[in-house]
Amino acid sequence: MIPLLELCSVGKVYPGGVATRALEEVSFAVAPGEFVALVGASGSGKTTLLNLVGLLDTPTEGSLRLAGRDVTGAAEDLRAELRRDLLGFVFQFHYLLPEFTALENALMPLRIRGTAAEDAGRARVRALLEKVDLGDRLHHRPGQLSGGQQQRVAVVRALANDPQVILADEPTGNLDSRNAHAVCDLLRSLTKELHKSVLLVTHDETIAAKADRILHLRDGRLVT
Amino acid sequence: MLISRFELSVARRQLLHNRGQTLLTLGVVATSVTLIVFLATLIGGLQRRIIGDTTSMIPHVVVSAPERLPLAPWELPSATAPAAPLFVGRVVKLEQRLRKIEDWPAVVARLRELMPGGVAARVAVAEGQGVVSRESNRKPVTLVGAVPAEFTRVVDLQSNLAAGRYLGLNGGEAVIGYKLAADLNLRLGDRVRVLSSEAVSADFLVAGIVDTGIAVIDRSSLFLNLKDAQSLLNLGSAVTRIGLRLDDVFDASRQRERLEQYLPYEINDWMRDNQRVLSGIRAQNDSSRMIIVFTVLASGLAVASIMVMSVTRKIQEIGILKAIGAKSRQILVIFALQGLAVCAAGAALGCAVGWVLCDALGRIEVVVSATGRTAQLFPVANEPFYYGLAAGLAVVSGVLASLYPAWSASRVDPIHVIRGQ
Ligand SMILES: Nc1ncnc2c1ncn2[C@@H]1O[C@H](COP(=O)(O)OP(=O)(O)OP(=O)(O)O)[C@@H](O)[C@H]1O
Ligand SMILES: [Mg+2]
Repeated sequence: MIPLLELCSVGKVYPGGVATRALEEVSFAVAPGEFVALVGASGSGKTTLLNLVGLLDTPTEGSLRLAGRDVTGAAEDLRAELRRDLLGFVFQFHYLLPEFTALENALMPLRIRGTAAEDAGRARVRALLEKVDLGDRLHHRPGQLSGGQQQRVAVVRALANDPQVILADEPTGNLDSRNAHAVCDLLRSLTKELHKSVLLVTHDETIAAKADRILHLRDGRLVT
Repeated sequence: MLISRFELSVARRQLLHNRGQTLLTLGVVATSVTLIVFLATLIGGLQRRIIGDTTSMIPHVVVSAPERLPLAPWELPSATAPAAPLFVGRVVKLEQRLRKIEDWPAVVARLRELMPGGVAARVAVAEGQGVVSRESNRKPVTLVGAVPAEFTRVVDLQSNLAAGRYLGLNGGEAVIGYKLAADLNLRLGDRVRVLSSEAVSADFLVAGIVDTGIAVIDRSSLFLNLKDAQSLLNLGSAVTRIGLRLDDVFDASRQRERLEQYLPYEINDWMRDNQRVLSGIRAQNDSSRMIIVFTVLASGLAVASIMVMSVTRKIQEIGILKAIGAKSRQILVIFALQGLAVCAAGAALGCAVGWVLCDALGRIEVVVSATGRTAQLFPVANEPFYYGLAAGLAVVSGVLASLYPAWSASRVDPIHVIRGQ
């Protein structure tokens, strides 16, 4: 099977007064539907790696393939389009837009793509929100939701555009452990059901244990 | 499509959500628009009044007979004949004679031909000096004789009447200024004696009194029938000048220059005679233009700085929108739309306030003369053009001002936002 996501000897050096090497010779692949956890000590390069995969940043070495396409040096607008169409993000903080309702926030990736895409996906997104128990919170603003509810909206937003890969950087870092496990279980069950790949960064061993596979990062290198 | 629901909804929600900032920007734009409207209508109205006062009671262009210059001794026919001795030192007294246009109907016809358009009316006038007397009082006056119906189309005497009539003036009747009437203690129906500079005298009945607001007319003019003036001034069937009223007062100099090429007469226009008024108006225009430029600049800068602040506050949202796939262009459009919307709303508000203000000012009337004639205290020119100008300038400057903040918003790197949290 062709891997959905494939990294080949990827390295990242942050320039600056003292250049920082954050990643070195990182190679791995993620298959469709696979749930992969990324763990490592603070400063080991987890966020850096996720940003590269998320096309928010560009590697200084190596190559990156997404859905069979080399996206290593893609131009800014193309990267925005790929993020919009192929990727879903869940961040540590929910980053919902305060001016929009839960439903509108969840629909935002589709709205960015275009009005037609939004109208076509509306029913599906609504169903997803109902599935995560937010059926009665559709028209609430983020400020009117609890932390766990906010993060569930963010999970649905990551799935709204029907992406190939979900990238989650400590999505439960801001939640208490009960909520953290709930959101994590949700992410896992939804993505399994919809057959999405997930790359999840976490500190929490018990959460990592639920993944199909665990990648360990140490000082910017993968250890096995 | 350039603008879709995404850009529109984000722009709109942010404006509504940050009500304070939106109202602040709106206020800045509205204030500057009100200021520009106010300034432009007031100065425009003032200038119109000045031009009106200057030109309403005089013909815009006047054609008169050329001045007769005395010949120099060497130009005298006798100078070529050696038989006639030339007396040096002999005083030659030139006869003071009225300069007249004998064949004026032909000149009027020629004027029609030379100026097929742009002329509102023409009138032939017999004008000269005289003295009006009643009992022991005497006052020097300018005698102005013309066919009233024609004269009033060039110089609107009829609508400046304080009493009596001008149109349909009969032989033996005269219209005088109200100050002259006061000086001589004259009322409608009184008789006066007029003695002209040609030593002809006649009696006239006061049929009308005018209040033009122009001192020389109100104090020392006597308007007569053309025939009466011609006989008082010994003109026969001639006139002394032909006055023209133009559709566009500012066309006067150009028309004069043109006529000078074709007609062997002396031609004057009001613009040449009123250089100081015109240069005053020009200076006023320059300074009001400068004030407008600075107002627009100030409001543009204020809009820009408020928007820069708002972009700074929104940097997280912008970053997240970009992370989930919004393109730089889309972000740019969002903020440019906000600038456009706020400036357009501010311009509308400013125009409304300006209109109310100018309308109220324009309604204030004050009595300006002894006959009870009233006029606007502030001669506002409350015209759509000025509103269009002010609104247009505000919208253009506001949109330009929002471009920098919009551009900087579009440059936000999502990675910094995600890392920052
Ligand atoms: N913009 C940057 N410029 C310079 N160095 C950076 C930059 N971003 C990250 N680094 C460095 O790169 C290394 C990896 O950082 P990264 O954020 O990927 O770690 P992390 O594994 O996500 O840590 P944490 O668990 O604390 O989030 C760190 O040493 C960090 O100091
Ligand atoms: Mg991190």
